[in-house]
Amino acid sequence: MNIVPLMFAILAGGLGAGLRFAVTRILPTKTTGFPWGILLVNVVGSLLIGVITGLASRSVLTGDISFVLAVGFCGGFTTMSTFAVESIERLRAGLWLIAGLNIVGSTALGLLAVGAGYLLAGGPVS
Amino acid sequence: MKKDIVPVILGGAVGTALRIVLDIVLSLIFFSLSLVSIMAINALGSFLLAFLVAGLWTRKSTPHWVKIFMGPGVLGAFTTFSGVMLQGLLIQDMWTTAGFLALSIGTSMFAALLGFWAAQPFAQKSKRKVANR
Repeated sequence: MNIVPLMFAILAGGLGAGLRFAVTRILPTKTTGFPWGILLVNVVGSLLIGVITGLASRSVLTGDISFVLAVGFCGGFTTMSTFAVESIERLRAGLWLIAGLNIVGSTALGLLAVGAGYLLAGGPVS
Repeated sequence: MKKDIVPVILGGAVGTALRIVLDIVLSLIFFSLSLVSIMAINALGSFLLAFLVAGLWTRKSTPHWVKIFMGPGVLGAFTTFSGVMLQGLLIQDMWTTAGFLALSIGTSMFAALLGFWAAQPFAQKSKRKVANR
């Protein structure tokens, strides 16, 4: 692996984390409320990684650029740990409906978003 | 928020670097099972975040910048949701995708639950709600 794309990916991951933090401050969530901020971040990030993968599969983006954007930015922007902790917090608080909607909704919307992004970018369907 | 963003970006860069390095190492170990790599990273990050949120961060002595550096920064960027969704898409078999997503999310949530339990001896007894993660 070349050092330059690796350094840019690390930088992009930091910027992604900063943007995620800004979204969660704009859409703050109480520990008993629905975690809209992280849901939005994870769905938008999934859409974006789908677009990047679709463009890379058509050679519109080089391997290095798609690595920086997908592994770096999208990887740093989206988060599984906060999603898991927020879901478990609500389950522990007995908020089964909120937790269930968050888990099922994030997964379904995330998968739809990544697929939509891939198709929008013209990724080949085998 | 402006002064908080710097530790988050720095932590995010550290978390991203750790994820890439660990992904390479784990992919070498589980070379025929590359899907295991990101699952293990997400489970580890979820465990650590839950452990910190429910344990050490309940203590007032923990500085705010440490919480946002480690929470939204390092551990937020160490784990990834979009990578899991992309892998789920690329599997291209409905039932295998469903199984992979259920296993990925299930292991992270179980790891977070273990983190909450493991943190109990370290939690401050009075207030246990901490906002930064």
